[in-house]
This record gives sequence, structure tokens and C-alpha cells, in this order.
Amino acid sequence: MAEDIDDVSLVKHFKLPESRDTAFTSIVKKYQQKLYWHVRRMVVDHDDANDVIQNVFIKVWKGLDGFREDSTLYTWLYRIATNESLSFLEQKKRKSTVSLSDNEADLSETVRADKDFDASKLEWKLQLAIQQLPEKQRAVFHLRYYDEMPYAEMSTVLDTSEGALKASYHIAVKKIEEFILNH
Amino acid sequence: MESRKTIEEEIRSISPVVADLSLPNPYSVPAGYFDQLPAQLLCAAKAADVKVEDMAETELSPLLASLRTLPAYRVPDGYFDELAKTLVIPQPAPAKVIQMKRFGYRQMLAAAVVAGLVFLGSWFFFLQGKNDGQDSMAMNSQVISDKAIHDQTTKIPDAELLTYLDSTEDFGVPDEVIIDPESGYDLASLMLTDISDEELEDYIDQTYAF
Repeated sequence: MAEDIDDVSLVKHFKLPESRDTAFTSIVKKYQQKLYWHVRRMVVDHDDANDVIQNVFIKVWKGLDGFREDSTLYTWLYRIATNESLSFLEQKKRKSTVSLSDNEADLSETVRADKDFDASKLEWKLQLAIQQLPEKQRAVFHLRYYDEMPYAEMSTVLDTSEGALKASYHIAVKKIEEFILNH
Repeated sequence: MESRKTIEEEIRSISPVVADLSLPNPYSVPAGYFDQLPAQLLCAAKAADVKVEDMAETELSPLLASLRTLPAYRVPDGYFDELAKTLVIPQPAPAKVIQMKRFGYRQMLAAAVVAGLVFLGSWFFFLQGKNDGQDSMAMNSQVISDKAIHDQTTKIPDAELLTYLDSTEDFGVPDEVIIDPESGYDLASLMLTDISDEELEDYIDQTYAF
């Protein structure tokens, strides 16, 4: 299974022309769900997440030859996925007619617009609570809460100090707690 | 590497409420999405590598390439033969003159004020200069006439000058005679009674000696 192949081998095979396609497909199979859900939680809508994932793996295809392996493949992929998600949200903000401060409200509306949305269910309330967070703080919460990413790796993904990430996560959790208790 | 337990303890220390939320993922994906995603992404990645401008049209879209020669629109018979005859070439419109700059009322007023000040200043300047010139001219005339007289009279012998002075009645003395009311004599005669004729002649010689 693709998940059993270590990252170093995958990168090595990708750099060989004869095994490039196979290695790329293996990488996609190994990380598609993790990366997709990370992106999906950021942008909420499936079609938007699909677009972002396409962009992520096109960048992986183009950039993996130059990957210097000073970080793990895992953190490198997450870094691309996070940056692409944030860029997508930034573009959406610029195109949107609502003000910047209303952008979080706009994503909450996207959550409510989901065909499975049920306001009475706690899991949806949690998603609404997460959408109240600023974008980068949201990314910190997702990576720690859902992906259980260590702060050291998160620091590489988000290019932020571990101390700042711990503080950001602490604030995010408190905000979510307040939302759940008061709504 | 942090353990799951460490992460759970961390969130519990921040918020027990959030730590106890063991919730399912509410979002869904279309059925079979992840099965087809790897192949779809490989195609997308390879397509991104290819430069569209390098592709032949038949590669890009054989369908479009085949439709190129099929015309959709029609024109009346003989249209292009008659087109040249029926074209009306419009006469060029006269060029519209547009002032480069329009001077407003304020600009003209300011220009008039400046011109007036320059004129007044120049007038005063030249006027002053003219007066100065006239005085100097007058002075020059006076100098010249005195000098000329002096030059001329030095050539004339003194005897001739005295003869002329004796014969000339008009001596710079006013014609009218001032009569003293008590004595009835003219004042000039009265004033000169104590002065001898020799003294008078000496005086005249000294005064009018050129």
C-alpha cells in the first residue's frame, strides 16, 4: 500500500523519469485524505476544497524535484496545502462584496448552507465556532486538534514560532469554548 | 514526538468542555471521490506542465480544428462586388480648434495689475531720469555758455569792453528808477553820492575784468 512506503523512497522514485508517475500517484494516495480534510476545514465547501487540492498537487508535481528534504515530505505538503488555502480565502475576500470583517460570517453561512447541516447537532456547532476564528488561528487549531501535529512541525508549516503557536492554540480553544457555551 | 495523550492533556488543561467534544466529522464528500482523485490529479499535474501555445490546434481540440472550414454566416449574392461602389467615404470634418489654454478672469486681472505696476515703475523711473537729465543739461548749458563767454571775452581788449559798457545803457540795472519820497531824488543817485567817480571806475574794472 502506498501508505507503507516511506517518504524518502517516494521522493527518490519521483525524481526518476521512469517511476515519476507511479511515485506521484503513491504520494497522492498516501496524503490525499489528510490534505483534503485540512483544506476542506479551511474553505468549508467541497468544490472549493477540490480546486485548492488540485492547485496543491500541481505545485507538488512541479516542486518535488527541487525538494531539499530539510523538512519532512509530510510538513512540506502541509505547508503547501495551508498556503494554498489561505491564498484561496484571500482571493475570495477580494472578490467578495462583503467587508473584510464579515468574511468569517460569510464562511459561517457556507457551513449553514451545507446539505447536511443541522443546527441542533454539536458537531455543526463546533464547525460554526471554528469559523469565528481568524484564518491563521483556524489553521493552528485544525493542525493541533484534528491532525495532532507537534508544535515543532507546525512551526515549519506555518513559519511561526512554537511559543506563538501555543498561545494561538490556547486562545482558539477558549474562543470555541465560549461559543459552544453561549450559543 | 508528542504523544496523543500529551495533546489531550493540553486541551483539557485549557478547556475541559472542548476536550470532551468527541464528535464525528460533519462534512461529507461525494461517493468515490478519493478513488478517482489520484488519477485526476496526475492528469492535472501533467497538463499544467504542457504549454498551451506549443500545442497544435488538432492536439488541443480536434473538434474545433475540423469546424474551422465550415462557415456559419451567409452574405447576399454579389455583395462584395457591389461593396466598393456603394461605399460612401465621409468627408473629414473640419478640425476642431481647441484652445490650449484658456485664461480666466482672474488670470487676466492679475496680468493687468502686473503690467500696470511695471508701466508705473518704468514711468517713474524714466521721469526721474529725465528731470535729472534736464538739470544736468541745464547745468551743462550754463557751464558751456559761461565758458564760451569767458573764452570769447578774453580775446576782446579791455578798452573795447569798457567802451561797450559805457555805451550800453542796459547794464543789468533795472530801467525803472526808485525815487526817494522825502528828497525826490532817485535812490541810486543818493546811494552813490559819497562815492567818487574814480572809485566807481575801479570798482567796475575789478568787477567786470574778464
